[in-house]
Amino acid sequence: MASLRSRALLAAGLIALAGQVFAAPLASPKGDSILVVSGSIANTNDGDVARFDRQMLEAIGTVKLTTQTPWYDAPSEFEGVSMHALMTFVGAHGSEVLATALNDYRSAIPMSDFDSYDVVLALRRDGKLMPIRDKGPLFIVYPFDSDPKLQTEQYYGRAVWQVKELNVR
Amino acid sequence: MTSSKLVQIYLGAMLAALVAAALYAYLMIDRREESLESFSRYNVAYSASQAVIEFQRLQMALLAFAQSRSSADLGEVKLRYEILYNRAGILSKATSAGSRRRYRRK
Repeated sequence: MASLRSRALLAAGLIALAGQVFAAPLASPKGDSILVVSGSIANTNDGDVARFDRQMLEAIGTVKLTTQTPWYDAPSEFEGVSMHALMTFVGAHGSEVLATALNDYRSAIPMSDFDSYDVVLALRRDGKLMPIRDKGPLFIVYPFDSDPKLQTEQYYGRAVWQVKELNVR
Repeated sequence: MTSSKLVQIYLGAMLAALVAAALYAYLMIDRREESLESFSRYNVAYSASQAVIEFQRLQMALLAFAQSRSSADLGEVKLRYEILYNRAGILSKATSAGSRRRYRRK
């Protein structure tokens, strides 16, 4: 009984701690801001938006994804932040994310994609930071190899490269 | 009707069904090929039009920098150059043989 109570207290403590982490004000970027997350988000650091430099994104935690894409001849290993984790981190509440690229290309991505697939906001390809001249600094990558459904124009269009802003709505 | 006649009719019907299925499959593949071809052509055209726009934005950034000589405008020039460089790579791949189906509007 005592063990059960202590476990419950521990769980409650962890939940409260997690809540504080996500509710805590987001630190300001120390380096160059490479991503703005705007719209319906709870965690901001510059007015109504959240600005991130590379270190801040990596601090959320990075994941790796190896997949064949239509843009490279061989399968590539992409490393970056899980879109699901990023949306949780900023406290996003909406049905879709409008991704905008540096050249002002826009694509609306249903929020449900981040639950259904391990979509990654990639910073690195094959271990190297992606420059703007090669789809960097941020590239939304789907695990195209995992499901033939993803190998369609619909999902290729959602794989935005040179991402500069994510607007949650 | 003899049994051999029945077998002949049965085989004839089977053959006709197989020919019809083959024709249907051919038509479906042909239609899909056409849509893929038009899609890839459209994307190359789209990429080319984007390249023109991105080149114009680089020109504008260069003009602004020539007038101001500010580091902010120089940063804009570098950004527009990098974006155009990326586009050149996409166009190069999109027009090369064997990769025509891989490119999309962006």
